[in-house]
Amino acid sequence: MRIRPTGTAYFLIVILIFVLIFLTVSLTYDEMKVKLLPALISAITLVLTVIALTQEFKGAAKTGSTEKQVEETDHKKKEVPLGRFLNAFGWFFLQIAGVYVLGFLIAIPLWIFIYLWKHGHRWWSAVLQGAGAVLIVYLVFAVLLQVELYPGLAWQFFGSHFGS
Amino acid sequence: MKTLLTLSLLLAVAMIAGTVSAAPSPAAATDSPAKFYQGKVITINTQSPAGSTSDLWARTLAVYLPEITGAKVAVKNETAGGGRVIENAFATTIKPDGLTMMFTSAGTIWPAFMTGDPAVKFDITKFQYIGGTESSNTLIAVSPKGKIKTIDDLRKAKGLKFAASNKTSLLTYANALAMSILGLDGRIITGFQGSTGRLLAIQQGDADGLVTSPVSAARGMTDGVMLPLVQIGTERTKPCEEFPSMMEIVKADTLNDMQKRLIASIDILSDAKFLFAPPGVPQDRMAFLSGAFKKALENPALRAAMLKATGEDIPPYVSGDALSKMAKQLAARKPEMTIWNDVLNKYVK
Amino acid sequence: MELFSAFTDALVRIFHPTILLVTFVSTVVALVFGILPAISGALVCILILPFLYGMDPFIGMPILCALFSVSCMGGSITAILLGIPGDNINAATVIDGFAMTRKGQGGRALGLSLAANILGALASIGISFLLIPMIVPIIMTFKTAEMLLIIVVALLFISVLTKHNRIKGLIAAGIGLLLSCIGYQASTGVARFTFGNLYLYEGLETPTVLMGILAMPVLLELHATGSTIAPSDMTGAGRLSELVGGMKELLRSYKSIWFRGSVIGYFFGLLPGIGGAACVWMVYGHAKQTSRHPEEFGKGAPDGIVAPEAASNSAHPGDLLITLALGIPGSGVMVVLLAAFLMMGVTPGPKLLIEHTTLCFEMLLTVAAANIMGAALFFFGAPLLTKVTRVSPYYIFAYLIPLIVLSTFVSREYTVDMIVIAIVSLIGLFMARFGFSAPALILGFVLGKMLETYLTLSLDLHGFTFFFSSPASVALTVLIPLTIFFDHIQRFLGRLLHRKVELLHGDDD
Repeated sequence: MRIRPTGTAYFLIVILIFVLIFLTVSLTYDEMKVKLLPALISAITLVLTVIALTQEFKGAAKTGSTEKQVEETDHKKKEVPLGRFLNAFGWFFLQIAGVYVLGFLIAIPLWIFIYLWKHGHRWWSAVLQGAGAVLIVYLVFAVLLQVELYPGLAWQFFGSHFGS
Repeated sequence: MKTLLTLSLLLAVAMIAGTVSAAPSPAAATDSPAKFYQGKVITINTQSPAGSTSDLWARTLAVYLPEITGAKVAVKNETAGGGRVIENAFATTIKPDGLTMMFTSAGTIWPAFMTGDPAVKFDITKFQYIGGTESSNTLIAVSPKGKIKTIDDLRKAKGLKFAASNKTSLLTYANALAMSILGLDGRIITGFQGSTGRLLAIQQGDADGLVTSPVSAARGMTDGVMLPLVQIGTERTKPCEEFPSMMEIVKADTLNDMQKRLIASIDILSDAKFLFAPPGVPQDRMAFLSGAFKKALENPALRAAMLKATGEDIPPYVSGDALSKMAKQLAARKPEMTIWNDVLNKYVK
Repeated sequence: MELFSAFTDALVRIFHPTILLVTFVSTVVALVFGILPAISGALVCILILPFLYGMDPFIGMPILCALFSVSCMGGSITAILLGIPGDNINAATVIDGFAMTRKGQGGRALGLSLAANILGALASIGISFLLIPMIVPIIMTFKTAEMLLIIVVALLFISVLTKHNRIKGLIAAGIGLLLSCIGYQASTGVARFTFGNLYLYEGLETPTVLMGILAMPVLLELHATGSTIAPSDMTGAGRLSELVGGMKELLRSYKSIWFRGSVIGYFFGLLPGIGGAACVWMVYGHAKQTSRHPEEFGKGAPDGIVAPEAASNSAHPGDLLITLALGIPGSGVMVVLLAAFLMMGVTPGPKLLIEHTTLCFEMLLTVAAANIMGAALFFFGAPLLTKVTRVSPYYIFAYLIPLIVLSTFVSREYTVDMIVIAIVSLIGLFMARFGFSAPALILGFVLGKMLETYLTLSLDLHGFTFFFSSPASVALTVLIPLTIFFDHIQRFLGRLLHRKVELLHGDDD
């Protein structure tokens, strides 16, 4: 019978890879003080992950009294497809990427505008909200607290080519 | 979902394309320096966080330099990578127009270069030094409540434990040197969290002693938490000049060859504080800045402010040229780092 | 008598109109910034640091004291209403505070939090005054080996937090410990797992990891489900009466756990290096361990809110006292405060307590005054703020995502932190989905660096005999198995007591 891995199993495999990387890299360090803790923790976590993975594949989890409740919570969360969560993450990543390329003062209003417009708001309302948000950010952080807001790669690129 | 993917792809392409940046070009010297600096903003960077000694120095200079230079002065704390990022930037990307400089101490930046740290992309001989203050000797100190009260007690004791933070810091090298020269029996335990962690270690009895800066030693003595015993140097320096240097305790002719070489290269332990600029700043601007810095240091108000902020009287002024010479001498001693590392590894297990 | 006169001088001084105004304005600023997710008390203090250079300490101190002590009160609001800790120290409150909000009882949760906060802060100030003569002996007792053992005991609380699935919990803790290894190793300075990126030399920032693991999954879920935080059909929810009810509930039913949380929080505030971020989880674990209804934890248990809130606010005065008395910062925010003191020309240390006793009392009293002012603002502002739980999730997502990205960047101004939060958010998302314990990861992360530092130091100083290096370390060593087998011991003692009662009744017959 073909075993179909659960989402948890896939996640455990990712953890396994993550821990293996840590273990391998930690063993490359020369000094014992440097490698001791990460190597030890990686090794223990590796064993635990293998045990958990085995349990997942066997489909026989050791249950405590509240295990059922956890399963119910997981089930509730799992009613919402993973794709929707990844969609949400995609928006989050878009904001980060936008900031990285365009800087805070452009990326924030632009992102708020696109997000709200895409989620049913009128375009002018989305523009106003984006503008309002960036004004507050600018006044509080750049003016009042004198924080240098990241200008973005695009600004740095154009700035260096066309003089500062 | 499709829109999201398209937008993300576009941004990813932009991210890759946008990482191209122009290399800094040498500054063109046009106006006289005095005219150049009028209304401009000079940025003094430090690699340490706000409230550190370098930061207090930078902020105090930021108060007194504007009246001399005509420029505004801003202070930036750039602690990324333990300060290594900004140090490397001074050698690579910072524009050499005389508007960006760094305030630091030799002990923070020179050892990394001397030990050949792979993260270091700068050469201390290429920096342009504006000016600074003389180095003072570090000191071995113990807890006044401990069993060790004198240098003799220290030299007779067995199994001493010295509290240190980082293995390759200036203080740890000084510690190892002192242990070798004074013939101390013991070891250096690294990992204590900063000067407060080391001080706590001797107060709690986890460690028997530590090596500290003269300012901390003076403050510790006043607070009754530290008892300095000996200066780690060939001659006494201020502050704490009432404590003997180790070469007053140990005769030079009793030293072995390795110890003699260590003493000959003791300027590796220099903790001079200085202001420097990246390579390529026009000479007239450098001369202007050097003059301004010297004038600022002569200002009694600045000296009083520094005394209040750090508890330390400003050590004597050292010119930029003298610092450049020091840096070159030190760079020539790079091969000596092998014996320094040998003595360090003897005491740091 | 000198101590008393210094106290009365300080009391008179804080009522000076200028000081009162400065304290009030700073309290408002602290509350506002505290409410903003991911803007911690330490970050606010860092941002205003440049403005404090050369300032008169009698003006500067109230500003700082109000900022750092009240910002966590504001952070409780976001932790409870939005599931986003405003400060590291509010992280444990999220678990049950937000769960209660999701049931439409946000006002009740805020009331519990407010009462725990204000009572914890006031009680700990009283404790500070009493403990001033004992501070130094306490600090001298807890040396390197003892600190290591305390951290080990703290880590054991992972087993309490992950009772429902120990293996997944331990895996999460392991990931947290490994994440804490990124950056330089304390005793050698060697950079680990940075893959050549200098910006990772100092490791990952705690607020960034907290946001990614705790807050981002909540926000992502809001967008994914499209539902409001709290059910929109709950009438009466969020009203002042609900808030007052929550406050009365603490006084009626949760005094014991409030007291224990305050004492433990204060104690951990005194110990240099541990910090509130770890202590709140220990207190949460202790509350769960000793609760009559541990199965309620994670679903809106009132003691799951009271305990960490009491601990978080009582840790600050202890922290402050140690910083003032010994010049040794007990936590990240105290490191910043120490820098601020130096910038204002005030040198913490034993001399400060002796020569500037009035200033020290003024600081402690300002913390009390700021907390009272903050509590009043919290009380009247909370009903309005609970309305946010019924706002469209897309609005919340639209404004909080840029704010979180911004605050992640602002703390160190490294762009790499934005990439880190993206990666950690993904981890947090999958952890939440597949039932891995976020508290376990956070506890592992927060304690990991300290564990390694104290472990290597203890082994260097004492070898493996560190377990028995002093009476305090022996006591802590004994505490380890007690913590592990607490449930069994509790059941055993319960059975013993039950048998004795039965015998007594048998004798009566």
